[in-house]
Amino acid sequence: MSQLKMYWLPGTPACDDPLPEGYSFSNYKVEADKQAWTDCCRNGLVGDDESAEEAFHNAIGSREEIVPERDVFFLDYQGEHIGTVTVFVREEDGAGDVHMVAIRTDFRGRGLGKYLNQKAIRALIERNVPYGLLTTDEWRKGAVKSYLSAGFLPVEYAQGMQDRWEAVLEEYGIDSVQMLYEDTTPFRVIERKGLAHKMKIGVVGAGRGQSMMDYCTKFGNAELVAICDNYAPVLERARRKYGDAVAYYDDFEAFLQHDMDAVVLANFANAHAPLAIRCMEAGKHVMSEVLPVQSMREAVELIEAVERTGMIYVYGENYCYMPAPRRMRELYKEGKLGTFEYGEGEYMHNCEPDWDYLTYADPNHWRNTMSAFYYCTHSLGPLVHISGMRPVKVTGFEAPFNDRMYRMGAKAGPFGIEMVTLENGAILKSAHGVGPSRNSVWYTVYGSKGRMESAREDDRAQDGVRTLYVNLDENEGDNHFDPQLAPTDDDVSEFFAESGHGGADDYMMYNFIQKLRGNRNADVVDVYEAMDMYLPGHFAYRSVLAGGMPMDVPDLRNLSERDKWRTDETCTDPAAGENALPSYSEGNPAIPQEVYDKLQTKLDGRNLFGE
Amino acid sequence: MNENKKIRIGVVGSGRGQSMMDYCTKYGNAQLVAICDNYPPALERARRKYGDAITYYDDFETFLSHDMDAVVLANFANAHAPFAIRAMLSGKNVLSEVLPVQSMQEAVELVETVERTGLVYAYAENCCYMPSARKMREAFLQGRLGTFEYGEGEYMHNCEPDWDALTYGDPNHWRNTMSAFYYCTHSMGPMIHISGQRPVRVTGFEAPYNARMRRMGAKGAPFGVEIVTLENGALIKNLQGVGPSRNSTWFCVYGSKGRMESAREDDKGHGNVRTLFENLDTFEGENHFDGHETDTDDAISKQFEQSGHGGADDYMMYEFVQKLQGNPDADVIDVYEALDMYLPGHFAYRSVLAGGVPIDIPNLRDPAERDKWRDDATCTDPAAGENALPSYSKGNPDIPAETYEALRKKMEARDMWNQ
Repeated sequence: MSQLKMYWLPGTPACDDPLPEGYSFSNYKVEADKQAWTDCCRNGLVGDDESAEEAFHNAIGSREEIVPERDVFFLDYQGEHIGTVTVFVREEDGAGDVHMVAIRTDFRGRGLGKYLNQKAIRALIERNVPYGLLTTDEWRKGAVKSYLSAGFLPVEYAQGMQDRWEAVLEEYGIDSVQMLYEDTTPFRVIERKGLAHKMKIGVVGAGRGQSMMDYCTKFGNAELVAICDNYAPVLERARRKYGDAVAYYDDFEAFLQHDMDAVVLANFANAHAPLAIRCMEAGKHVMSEVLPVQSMREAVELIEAVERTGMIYVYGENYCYMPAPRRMRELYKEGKLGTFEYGEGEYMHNCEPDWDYLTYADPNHWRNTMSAFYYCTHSLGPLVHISGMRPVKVTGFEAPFNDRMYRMGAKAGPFGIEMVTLENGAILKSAHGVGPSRNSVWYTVYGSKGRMESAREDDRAQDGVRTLYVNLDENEGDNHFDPQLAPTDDDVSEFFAESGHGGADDYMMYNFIQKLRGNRNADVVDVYEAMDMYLPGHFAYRSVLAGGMPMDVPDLRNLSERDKWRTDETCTDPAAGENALPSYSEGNPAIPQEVYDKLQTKLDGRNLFGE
Repeated sequence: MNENKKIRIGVVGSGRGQSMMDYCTKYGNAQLVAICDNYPPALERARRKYGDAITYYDDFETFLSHDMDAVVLANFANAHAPFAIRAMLSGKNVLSEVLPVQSMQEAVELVETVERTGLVYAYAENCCYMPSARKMREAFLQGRLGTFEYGEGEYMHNCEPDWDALTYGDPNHWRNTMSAFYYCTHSMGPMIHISGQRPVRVTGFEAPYNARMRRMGAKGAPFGVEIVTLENGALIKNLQGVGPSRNSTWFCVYGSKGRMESAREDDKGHGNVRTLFENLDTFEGENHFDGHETDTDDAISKQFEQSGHGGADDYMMYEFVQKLQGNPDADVIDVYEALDMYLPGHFAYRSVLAGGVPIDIPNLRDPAERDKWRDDATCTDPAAGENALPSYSKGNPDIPAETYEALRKKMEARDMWNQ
């Protein structure tokens, strides 16, 4: 768990209270001071088993920037060292590091920490640093409170920080404080937990939406206020689960009137865009489940609605937040992979066992009419998110219709492959479908400095996307082939591990809430990136229909490229009428009614909404 | 079939050829009689190892007149076809190491020579004989995978550490002039051999040139991907190259009844191509997801475990010898299948050069299709003169002489021929 970090900014009013009777300050002078220094640091900063020599060396002596005679201060009582603080200027950026702040155990609880803080701040001012910093922990209660009183401000630099500080403020009864970003610029004024605004969330689609609804009930920073579903049994089940604190709607427009900050769209995958646009026009921020749109016209409209309203649109591609791809992105951004050269993503999901209740045995369910390429963002999304690059070209390859799809009543190829070229020439392979015989959720990335990948489905000694293999060089050309299993935990994984999709769902909501709270560090997928994830699938199908020709993937950030697609409603939804493409490139297979009847019988045998 | 007939083998290329030469000395059904190599230190090392029972040649034509049943071609990868043709015209059966040809003209000539002479031509794609690939084929032939729907083969091999020894610091070494798609049969071969199907179409994807290739003095792209369509519409992804940062030899097959695959390179807990994961239904639609590791042994695997390439080399020789002894069920790769493995790479590069369009793969079993390609000598070998393509689709990079000098020095510091 990352430590709390605090900054002091120049211009913060300084306090120079006179020391109480008998107390004075001194500097480190002689070897013998190491013992006194260590005595001050015991029971908090230095372990019982460390000698004074070792402890002093580890904290002070080993740091080249520290000159003990200049930088190590003592608070003395009647000439005896009973407290210490070290202030030094960091080599890397000239910031003032307030280091090893301690009061000897027998002098704690007397409010003496305040004087050490004042001494430190005086030293920061004298050194003319651009800012001062210290790290501490929640459990050092007296210390944290004294830092806040001295004018140190909390820093937002790791996941969960804002929530942790809100809890700290609540504990000390401090209503609010300015929080800073790591570069010292202001983030926002944060409030104690009891006062902090909980984001009011409404959810459309009480089936898939459950995971997001549960987030609100589990964590303190969001409040579930309204649920909308047009299917009565599902709405009833939600009512039984979430009770009277939540308002229930079967009509979307009525739901939109409810007082809320944001809407989570978990309705039908191919029907998110129109609802998203309505939400933003009604002044609500949006998190949209997969997929973002089903036609280019919707894509242009959606982007323009985001730009026009200025609302926040976040794309809920939860696979980006699964442990392995999440960590792969962090390592890539740290430069550990070098240049991105090649990546593969797979979302192969044999849905036959569940297809009856996923489609309600309806031949026109979107799942039965989508092409093999529509549901592409689970496999492509993490690769786009890790690389931070835009896809520029795609070629599609469609698997032949098979018996499984026939039994499922699904009219498309059982799976498809997109071969994507990114803006730097790197290649991606994305393989996904609902009709292969076996499942795979898997990612691998090759860079100039090595490779990272998750574990294969069939390797039961490992844990799929929770497992990360890292095989990286320090320097390019080391060619030191040494794969390691790497940890994928971070500060918040213990809280999120149990949520849906390998813990990914809670990460997604957490980051959405952080984005709503104005945190620029929030790891969210915006509307442009959502299109980077989706358009390759859309154009891969066009590629197949054109005989396997490569297709350019438009960049809808670019206004002039939008006009070309503004009125293009082509999709596989039969509701698109003359704009409807077949779901399978060779023409929709004829699937007799008996197939759907059989699925209906299977569905009737389940007790889906009684739970 | 005559199991007692001892097959007399001559080997060309005593570097790669060592594995096949060792087979002869280990097992009783083949006898090594002659070795040919035009590089004196290599020939000397062979002489030290195999002694006076063998005859040593530095000239191929003289070697060909030695009394033997078959020739194993382990010379330069892009130079097998002319040697194979000469060997068959001299009445010798042939086992050719990878690759079979480097141009369509050679392909047509090779096929026609096999047909004309009636001799045995076997293609030594050893990856087909690796434990997991072998077992996957057995399962497929038994019907346990159902219909072949999708396959992946990978042969990613970061050759930077060994490139000096592999190319002698020679800018025109075939390894430095081949395209990213040439060396495609290690990864493609098992997919073809398992499925028993012909590839009909391919699209190629070439990775951008990178710093590693530049350091290696290699002029092709670091790796390439072929997406191949088989005759039944099934898809294959084939990934191979000498310049990626990490290695992978890996095979995966999806059928209508489930999936089988080998272990990933980075999975240290398993044995790479020696490991096989099986996840199969007993009947289609059972959807009983039960992936587990399964054993890759068969009746003869124990004997061959120790040979090169995961035991594959000895298998390969064993089956070749079986074929020559008259066993109709010998598991060999004939010339047609060899081209089924190779042509996707050849045409993938043409696909890239044409802007990434899909290209039909000719079926050279059909004499009518041969005529179209009979005079096509296009390849990336600079020796092909006006028929030479660049090794990299965007034009060969300029690599300074210093790069090759450094590689030569590195190679010389090794003591390669005294081991």
